[in-house]
Amino acid sequence: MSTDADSSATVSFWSRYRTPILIVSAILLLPPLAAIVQLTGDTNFCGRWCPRMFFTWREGTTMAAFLMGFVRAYMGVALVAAILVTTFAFGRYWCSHLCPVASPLELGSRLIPKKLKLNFSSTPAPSFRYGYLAVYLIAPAIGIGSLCCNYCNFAAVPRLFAAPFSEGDLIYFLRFQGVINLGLLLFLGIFAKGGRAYCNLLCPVGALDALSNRFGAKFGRRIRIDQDACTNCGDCSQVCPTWAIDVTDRTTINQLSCMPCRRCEDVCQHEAIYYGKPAA
Amino acid sequence: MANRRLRIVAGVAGVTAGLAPYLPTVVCPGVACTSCFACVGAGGAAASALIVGLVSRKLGRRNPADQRPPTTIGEGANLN
Repeated sequence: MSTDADSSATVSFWSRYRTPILIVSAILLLPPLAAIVQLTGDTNFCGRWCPRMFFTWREGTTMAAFLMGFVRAYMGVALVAAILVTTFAFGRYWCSHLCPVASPLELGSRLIPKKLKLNFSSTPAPSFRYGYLAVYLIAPAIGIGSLCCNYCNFAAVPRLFAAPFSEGDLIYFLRFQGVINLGLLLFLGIFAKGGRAYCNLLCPVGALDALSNRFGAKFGRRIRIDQDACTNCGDCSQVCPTWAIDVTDRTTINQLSCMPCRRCEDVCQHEAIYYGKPAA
Repeated sequence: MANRRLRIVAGVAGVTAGLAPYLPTVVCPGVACTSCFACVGAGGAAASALIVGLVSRKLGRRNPADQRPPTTIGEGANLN
């Protein structure tokens, strides 16, 4: 194991308290409380907190208007910048521990019987994800429309929690886009094995985060495998919610999909998986 | 790593998923609705393509561990 690997106490904290952290994050960032979002007078991730729209260029947009999008969604810009920087250094903790959009999907999927769960784990997620992201970025640029805001997870999940209290949010789920979004959240979230198929396939913020994770892998702390200790048993790949572990020839972790949920580290009986910087 | 064919299929499925919401408006032949259901057909075709892409694991098993009998964590079941 790497000498730079974290102590077992640190590992156990992020692993042991992941579920409570996910719940607290959802409570603080989602309606009806949304305490953090309400600091700026907002109730959801639209407008100032929008983390998805500001980086899409629309046909006919001037540079000034494009930059104004950054100003208009300044909290969303700050959030995405913070996510990318922390991911570069420490891995995708936003996705694994803090994301309020993913939290209800993963926690909800734990309540679904295994027999009913859909297993997408053999789908090559990066290929799918960046195919979708390409359309997400190119379609508005060439003028055929935008996947924002109608197909937005950062709009749908908060609206889902606000629907019992707000007529507007309830009506959203009676519209075509709302039904489609709800179907995607159920199909790729709650009924997916691990609850992370939506994150892994369709989330644009997750796609950018994964790039930061991949490019920072040589420098920052990541989930890694000690090949000398690994027996290629495959237990880790069975529990990985983002299908990032491949055991075809030897066990490897795809940093384009991995997030430090630490489940692989927990199940490894040979202490071959650790969180830390690359071994020298 | 998944095999090349599987990655290409997944990439096409991702593009299809992105384009699917646009297809009904692209195929719509008129300003007023004549109930031709072209939009429904396009949406259905896109959804079918997406589902085929998503279940493309049938084309190839990525992970040899999937083909092994399930291990019981904690009992030291190492099939190697």
